[in-house]
Amino acid sequence: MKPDDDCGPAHMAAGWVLGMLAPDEAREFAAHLADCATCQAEVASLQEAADAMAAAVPPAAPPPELRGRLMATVSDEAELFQAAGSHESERVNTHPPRRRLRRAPLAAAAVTLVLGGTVLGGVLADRGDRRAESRTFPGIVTPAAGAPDARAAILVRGDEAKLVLSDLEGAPDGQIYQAWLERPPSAPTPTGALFSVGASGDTTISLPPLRGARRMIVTSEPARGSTVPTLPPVVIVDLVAPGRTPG
Amino acid sequence: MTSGYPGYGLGLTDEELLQGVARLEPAPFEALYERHGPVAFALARRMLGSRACAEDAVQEAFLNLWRSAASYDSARGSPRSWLLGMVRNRSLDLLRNRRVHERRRVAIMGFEERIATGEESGADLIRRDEATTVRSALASLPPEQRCVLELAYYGGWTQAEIAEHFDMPLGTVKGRTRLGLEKLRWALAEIGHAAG
Repeated sequence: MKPDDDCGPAHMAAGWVLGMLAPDEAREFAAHLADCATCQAEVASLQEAADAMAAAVPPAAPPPELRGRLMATVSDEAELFQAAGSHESERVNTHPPRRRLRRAPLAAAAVTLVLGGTVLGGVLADRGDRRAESRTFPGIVTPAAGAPDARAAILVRGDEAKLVLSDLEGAPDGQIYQAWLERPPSAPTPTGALFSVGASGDTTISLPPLRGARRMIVTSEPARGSTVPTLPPVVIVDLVAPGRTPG
Repeated sequence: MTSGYPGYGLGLTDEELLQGVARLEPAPFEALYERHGPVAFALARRMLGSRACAEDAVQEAFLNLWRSAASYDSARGSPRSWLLGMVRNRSLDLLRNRRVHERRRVAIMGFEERIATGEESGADLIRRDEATTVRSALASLPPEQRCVLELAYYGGWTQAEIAEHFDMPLGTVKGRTRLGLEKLRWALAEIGHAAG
């Protein structure tokens, strides 16, 4: 459809769809779009044309190793979630499909990670056919940053480490979460993992290799991150289980 | 690596597969990868000009799909559009981290036929045909409009950047953006290209 000639900002719809507008224009159009049915329809229609441009490139087979890496990660996480949530799966089936699918798996997994991380680590460790040993380290979310049922845990496989967070509150306005590794007696080192959480409060963050680290902490920092933590940690994960060190 | 779930999902729609992914089932995820991985990889390589960078972008997009399938909203497009949007966004993030001139060099590269290696499945052939169809629609645009659309979509250029780089009035770029995308929409409709 053509936009209404009387709708002034409609001429920005194409630039909006393609992400070409200047920041002030984008803000102006976003505010207008929220209340303009004409522009909403125009954007939806133009979006289809823009999306089609992805298909203009002749398909190319990805490297076979990519599938291997993806499926190894996916299989690990699926097993982790399934091991965590067998009773949960019965409960979630009572919800409508979209809602049922929304967040139960991560929450269930996180709960079990916290309560039984070592057990789950064992489950994954037994699958030594094509993956390195996996371990989980349960953590805590301080009341300042999380709902009462907020959860944190780190899943480690080889040099890969993932921080799984559930029900974390968003960082204060203008700030961002930053992950750090502590290797005493050195000061905490920034990991480069700067992240925020969406409305769900759930997220999974990749961490660098944990070699020698005794603790992972998350602090709230200015938007560009910091070189040293400026506030007390809001998430703490101890990485030294009795008799073993990570990595 | 061959599929761990050969033949899985052949009779299922993308939406049905995505529901399985939202239940954290690997088989439908792998079926979606089988179905859309080649287009995703081609798009990322077109944008980034590098196989290694394209792998990173595709890996992150598919893992994002795996972890956030439950948040998929059909009102905002097909699963394929959603996935390719994630591939494009991740590729644009990588582009923005590059030096400006490198980013521009990649974005300006012409459309280069990139032949897939290995055997092509029936789905691959259909998608190659689709690529030809969409390229025909793009080719029907005046070159100056097509150029603006390609710089924006594949290179993440803003209207102001295009105006500055090509030394043309910003209003001209805005006009070409609007006319180009509207014409592409009509050209696709005439050809009968279905979204998704």
